[in-house]
Amino acid sequence: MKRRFWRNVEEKTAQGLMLFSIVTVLLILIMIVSMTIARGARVLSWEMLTQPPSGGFYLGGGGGILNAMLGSLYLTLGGLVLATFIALPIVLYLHLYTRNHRLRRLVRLALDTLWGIPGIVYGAFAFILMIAVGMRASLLAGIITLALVMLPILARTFDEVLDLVPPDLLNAARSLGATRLELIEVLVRQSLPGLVTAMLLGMGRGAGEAAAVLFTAGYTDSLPTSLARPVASLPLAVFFQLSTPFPEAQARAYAAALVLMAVVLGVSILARVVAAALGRYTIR
Amino acid sequence: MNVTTADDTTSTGQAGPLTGTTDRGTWREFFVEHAIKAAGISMIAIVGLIFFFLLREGLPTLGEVPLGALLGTRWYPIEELYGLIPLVIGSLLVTAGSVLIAVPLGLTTAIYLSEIAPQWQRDILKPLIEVLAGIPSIVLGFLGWVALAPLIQSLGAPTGLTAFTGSLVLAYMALPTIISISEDALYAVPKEYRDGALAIGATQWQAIRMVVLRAASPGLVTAVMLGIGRAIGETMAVMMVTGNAANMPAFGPAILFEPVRTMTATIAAEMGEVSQGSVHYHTLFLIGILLFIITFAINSLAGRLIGGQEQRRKRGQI
Repeated sequence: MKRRFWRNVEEKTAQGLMLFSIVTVLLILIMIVSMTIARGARVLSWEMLTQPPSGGFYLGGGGGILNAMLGSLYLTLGGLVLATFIALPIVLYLHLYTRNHRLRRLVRLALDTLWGIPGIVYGAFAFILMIAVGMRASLLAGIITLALVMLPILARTFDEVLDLVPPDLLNAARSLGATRLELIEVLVRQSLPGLVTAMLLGMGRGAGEAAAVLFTAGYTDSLPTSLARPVASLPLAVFFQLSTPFPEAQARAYAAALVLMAVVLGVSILARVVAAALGRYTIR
Repeated sequence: MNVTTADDTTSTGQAGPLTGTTDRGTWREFFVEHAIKAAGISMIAIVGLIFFFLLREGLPTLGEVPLGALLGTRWYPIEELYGLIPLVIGSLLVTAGSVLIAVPLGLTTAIYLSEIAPQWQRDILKPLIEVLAGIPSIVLGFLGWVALAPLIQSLGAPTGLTAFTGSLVLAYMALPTIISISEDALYAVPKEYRDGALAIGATQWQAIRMVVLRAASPGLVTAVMLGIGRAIGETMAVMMVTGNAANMPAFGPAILFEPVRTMTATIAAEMGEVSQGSVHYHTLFLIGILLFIITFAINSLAGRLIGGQEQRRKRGQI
């Protein structure tokens, strides 16, 4: 009798704890989203989204965060394109071009290693490279660094996506005499939804990365004009302008945080929609 | 690279010999083939390059600053004091605090999702957790600064920017990683295990505690490790909310409620202003090397555990 009582207590406690956890996690999620919206909505205006800051660097004054929005857009898209062009061949190599298990393991180990490296270390590494070739903080350097950050994310997700392609499909293509180049077409077409999703998710991660672009892309109040000049970015706009004592500049930080979160969450939702939409054309 | 000859002998019988006989752009085939092979190898080269450059810029420190000084308790580069201990302790404190918060919360959430929640709840909750994973860390840092820090200060701490504030922000950053990986591990435990436990009279929680958690334990440890790996590498968000003071925290019950500075934040704060080639510069890269090694160790350990679990499952032991 007594044992059954304690069993019951244990069962109820465990269930209570689990419910508590899930409710806490969700509550904080709701708080994060709603607080960012609440703070940002107060300062969001047409001017904020369509103009670069008109005051000094840290100073107040009018203007908005267009410099950071455009900068982030160029950085992220550039980085994504570059990273995709490296990551896709890497996973095709893993899936089609080598039967050498040791080499394959080594490449995967390299990917895992890159995956874990903190953004700031990528930033420091790119900083050395920039000094070595006499480059200064610029859009191009930022793009290259962001590509490095996104590379392992893309490659690992691509790898998982290609793993899902049924081997029969490839074998059928092989039996028809397809060359490896044609096998790539089969592979890519079949896994396209997954690949696009992976790219969108990698883009979301890249857009939010602050530490890697700190020394490499720099920061500026003007709109991006050339690959060789520094650009602003949304995460750094939040970082730099939050710590100023001027309310007008802080307002820009609030707006930048809201825009950044909206874009990243939007992209993440888009990724799911795209996956569902493109998924109709794959063979299951 | 001499891998090509060995690679082409595949068990599936590829159409290698046909390549030359088809008239569809063999040069294209040739080009793509080699570009792809180069990309594969480049992966290893990139890691090697990163490590080489970090070593080249960071290792000179060991010759310039005696080891005893590096192990000192003061980081004050203007007076040539390069003690790394306060920074390492800062990183450890913030990370440990976040682990203490995120691991219980994350594991119980994962257990709920995998074992208790009905399908319709899973369908809602899992995408929500993935959305959570997408929130940029700088936004979490932003909220830590505008909302959490004032709250903590109002609770009686001398300042709101403390190691604990950083821990809270990092905990929430590590949560999605911990939840989704451990949920996968729990989900992979065969249903027969639960049925067996329930059949011999275990309650649901007993089945979870005595059977499911044990079977999934390598995956759970991996989830925690990867969560730690994410936490320790975070830079800007932590820099915003930990107070950024490179002091030794006073050991005591309130150790978490003091401003600290992490290794990552130190690089971010000082790299832009330091003169290239100076001792200070080299020391910052030494910190980079330490971070590289720490995250590498955590990740490869986690990878080994995942591998171990997969192999055991294949052998039918799990």
